[in-house]
Amino acid sequence: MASPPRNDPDASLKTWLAGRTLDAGPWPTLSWVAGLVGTLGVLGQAFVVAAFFQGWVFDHRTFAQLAPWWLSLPFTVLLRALAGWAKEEAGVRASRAVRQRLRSDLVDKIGSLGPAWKTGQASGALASRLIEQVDGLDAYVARYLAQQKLSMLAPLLILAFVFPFNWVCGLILLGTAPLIPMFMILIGHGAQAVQSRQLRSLSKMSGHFLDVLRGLTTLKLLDAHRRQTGEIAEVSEGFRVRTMEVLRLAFLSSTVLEFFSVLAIALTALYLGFTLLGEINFGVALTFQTSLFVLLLAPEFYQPLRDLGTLYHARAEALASAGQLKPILDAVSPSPAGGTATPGTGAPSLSLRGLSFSHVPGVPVLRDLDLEVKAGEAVAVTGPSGVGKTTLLRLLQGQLTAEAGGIWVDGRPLAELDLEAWRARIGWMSQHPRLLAATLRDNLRVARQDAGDDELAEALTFAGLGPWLAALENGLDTLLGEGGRTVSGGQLRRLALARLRLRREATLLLLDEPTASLDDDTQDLVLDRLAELKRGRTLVLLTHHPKPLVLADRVFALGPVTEDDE
Amino acid sequence: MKPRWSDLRPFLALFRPYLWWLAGGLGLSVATLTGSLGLLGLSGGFLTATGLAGLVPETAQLYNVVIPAGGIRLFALVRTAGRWSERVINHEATFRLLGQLRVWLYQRFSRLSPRQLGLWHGAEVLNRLTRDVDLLDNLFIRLLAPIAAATVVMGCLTAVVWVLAPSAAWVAAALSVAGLVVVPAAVYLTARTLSPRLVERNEDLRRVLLDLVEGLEDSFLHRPAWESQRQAVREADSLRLADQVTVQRRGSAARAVLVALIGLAAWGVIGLIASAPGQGLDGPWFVALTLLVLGTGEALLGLPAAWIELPGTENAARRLSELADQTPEPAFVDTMDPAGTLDLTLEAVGFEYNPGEAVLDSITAAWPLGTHVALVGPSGEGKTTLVRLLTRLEDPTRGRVVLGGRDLREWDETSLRSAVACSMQDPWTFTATVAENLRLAAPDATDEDLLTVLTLVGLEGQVTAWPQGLNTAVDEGGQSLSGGQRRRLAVARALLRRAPVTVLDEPTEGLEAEAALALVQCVRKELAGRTLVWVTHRPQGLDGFAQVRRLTRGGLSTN
Repeated sequence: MASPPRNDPDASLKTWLAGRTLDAGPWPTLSWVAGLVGTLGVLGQAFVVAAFFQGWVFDHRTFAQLAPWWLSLPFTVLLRALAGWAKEEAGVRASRAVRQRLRSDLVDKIGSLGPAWKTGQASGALASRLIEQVDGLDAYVARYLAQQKLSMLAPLLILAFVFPFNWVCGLILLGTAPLIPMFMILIGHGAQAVQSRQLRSLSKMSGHFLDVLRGLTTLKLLDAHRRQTGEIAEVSEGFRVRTMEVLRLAFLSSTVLEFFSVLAIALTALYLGFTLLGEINFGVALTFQTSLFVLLLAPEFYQPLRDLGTLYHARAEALASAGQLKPILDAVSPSPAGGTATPGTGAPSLSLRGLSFSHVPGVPVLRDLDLEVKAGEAVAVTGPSGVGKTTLLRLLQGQLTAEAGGIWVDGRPLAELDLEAWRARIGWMSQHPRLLAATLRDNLRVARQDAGDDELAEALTFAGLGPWLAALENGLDTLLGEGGRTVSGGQLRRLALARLRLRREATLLLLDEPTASLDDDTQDLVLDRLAELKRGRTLVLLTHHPKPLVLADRVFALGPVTEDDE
Repeated sequence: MKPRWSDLRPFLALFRPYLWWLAGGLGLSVATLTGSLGLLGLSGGFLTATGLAGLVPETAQLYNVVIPAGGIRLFALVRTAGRWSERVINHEATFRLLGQLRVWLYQRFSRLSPRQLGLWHGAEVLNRLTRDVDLLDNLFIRLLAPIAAATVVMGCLTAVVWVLAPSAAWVAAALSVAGLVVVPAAVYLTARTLSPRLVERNEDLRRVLLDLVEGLEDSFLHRPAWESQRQAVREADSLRLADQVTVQRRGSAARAVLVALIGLAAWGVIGLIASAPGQGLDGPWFVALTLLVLGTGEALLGLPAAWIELPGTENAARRLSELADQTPEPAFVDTMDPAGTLDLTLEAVGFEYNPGEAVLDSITAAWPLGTHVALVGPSGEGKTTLVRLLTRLEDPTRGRVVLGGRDLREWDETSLRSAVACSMQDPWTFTATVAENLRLAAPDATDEDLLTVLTLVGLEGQVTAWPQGLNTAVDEGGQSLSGGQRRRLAVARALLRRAPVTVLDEPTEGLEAEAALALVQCVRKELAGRTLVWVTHRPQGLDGFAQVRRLTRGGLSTN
């Protein structure tokens, strides 16, 4: 029976990782080259030590006669140390380059995906992904890549030196390494099994702990929080028993490698010893110097492979990170591509014809919407929550692409406009304005980067925040948000109003529930200032409160999409 | 603040019950290293001895190969078996510690109020907390075990050199001091100095990233604003990477220095022994000693990485201790005098999270036992804060909440929880079955009890339709349920408490208008004769309530 080709879920991630590591330039290569130079240092060191003892023990030379050998030992040591340093340094540089580039690419991608994509993501979690998951590539790029090459090449290099001296020893080394690639697969599978099992059970246990902590308020209210102590102990105990069962077996795979490495040393020592005694003779002339040289190399033969074994988690970690990050870079932007036409400078007219949109295929949020807004007209869109009012604003901003129908601006399809220029003509006031953890100045310049201090002060005064600004000790340099000064909901809304004031070039104002959860005084102020701002501009306003309707020339009631309700 | 070794002390105390496990693990690590070094030394010595013996046929005949050859096999076996059992035992010890650590932390955390744990600030606080716990998990296996094993082995090595070649002993001692103390200290101090800055850089990057992501709504309309935020992220990233790289470079430098020191120590041992005339150390021992010194890399080279990690672990330990050591606030009394009829009154209650920023100001109300009251008002902190005060998750800044004639502060925890049941606005659904989630409220409830209460909240039909019924597993964070289902499950939990007073915060959120109406009616019928505080922003379906009050900062008004 023909079975479908096995689909390796990691394959695309591996390809992706390989692509990302190209950003490291020549550093990964330099890293393993340095590693090979280190192996040359090892060879030199072994040769010098063997030569010295041949002279001292067997040829009965004096220390003075052997001084050249003794004096050359530190040079081989330094070569080895420097090469080791260079190998790591190259790795560090490779990793820095890759991570910097990756983080920057992710940021740019998020910028092009836009706010509509962002609403599906928790900001904190997204920020964490950009920090921790990108760092997850560190050990892989910095060390694993070079070590992988080195674990193949360094043993070959050592063999190349051992064979000419003594082919039997060469065969022993080779024989205990029944093809290194097989070992790599073995370590790979073993280490991966260990790592993934351990990681999974650890994360499960951490997950349970996190679950209990996140629900602690709920537990307290149910007076169940004390009972959980026993459960935590039980869960940890259960994880321990199950994980150890697996680990006991899984550790065997690395023990096999250890075994062969030990076997190589022991067999080499015994073979050489018995040959020297004359009890074994393969017809190979053997001096003590050669034997010691070979013996010193035996542990080094396996060292790169053992190092690779300890780095295997780096690969698993990198693949896990790739699984988190690749979807962001692969995400298709929900916003339309746009064209090149420059939007007009006057208040635009909008016409929405047969506009349909759905977030989930088959569940339309907007269907066949028709709405005409004349240039300079103010239209209020009303309706209960969940009828797609916010979606409508996103479509107007070019954050989302309509499924059917379209939007025409001054008679020209939105899709033909240079969307960046179009967005620059929009003044937007969100229902939940965001406060940046930055200075008051930076918080206002979100609306216009080149605004001078006097303009900022004017905008604040306009929004009724003049006295507040005057009372601030550090004025526009006052730090707001996390770690800085907190502002109340009403002040935040007025800051948003000040931002709107700064958008002088805006010809279309989009307001989302401009007065929601504000006290009466603030509502009046906000509405009064908005009435001033709307002059000479087109305005679309979303609300399900009656009060903001005073701004509108016309009310457009948006009803829920009925039909297909399940 | 720089991390300190003493930050780890409370956590090291947790090791005590497992001292034998740790000692066993350490013993095996030492045995493995000994096997490794012994194999090298003995092989070298054996080779030299056979070489010497093989020079003359007679001595070659007489040379006893049994002991050294057996020794080589023994060391090989010790190293192989030791490696495996060391890993098994150390992991076993680590897993046992891990459970202990979590139980200990949980016991301390569960005394604290949600505000003290930072739960009001969302998931990030807890994510960080679990990251810290994970770091501490590795304390023994990654940090303490290798350091201790290396110390023992280097001590033994120095002793061996001292016995065999006293003139070279100081080289071995110097290598031990350098490898165990000087180089690690240099690495540790660098990492410790940089550690607070790394934390700061990390927070900086997180902050600008959050600003970038959160500000997207605004910056999407204004390219220059986006560019400036993007630039801020790149700068924060570069600064952070630069510090990270500095730490990594110290690690590389430390390893390179150690490689050089080990080689130079072997060089020194060779020179000292060979240049001291008449020392009398014969060839095999001489070679063996040299190989032993060359082999110490196995014990020493891993240490810089361990010491670099230590300050981060110390930091994690300090953050956890600071959190765990808080005095519970509000704290509950252990026993209370009996309460009277469970009338609920608010006496000029005021509350502020930050001094001078009142969220509630002088709220007064009286709800005799059996009153059904609906609290409405715009979304904001006010309503939820009042719910927190009614359930004593917070104490009022001014005034008092009185139940059964006693200030809530005079109630013990279990009595208060039995008297007041509550479902919060963001109830948590645990990763367990539906039944287990419900039985948190009433451990002895039968399946019929559970189904009855599910019928009340309108979930019974859906739950019984699932193949596993009550035993259906709920995904992490209740993701496999809809918002409305989660909410109703929480209401069911509160009803299962069968408390005289029930407080429900936004119970109909995420429900269709019709379902919301049905829920109000069912809950009111069930709680007839008992007090119900129904908090909502939906004005529909509140006609039957004895009181409908509008909550604003200044007080409660009739709607």
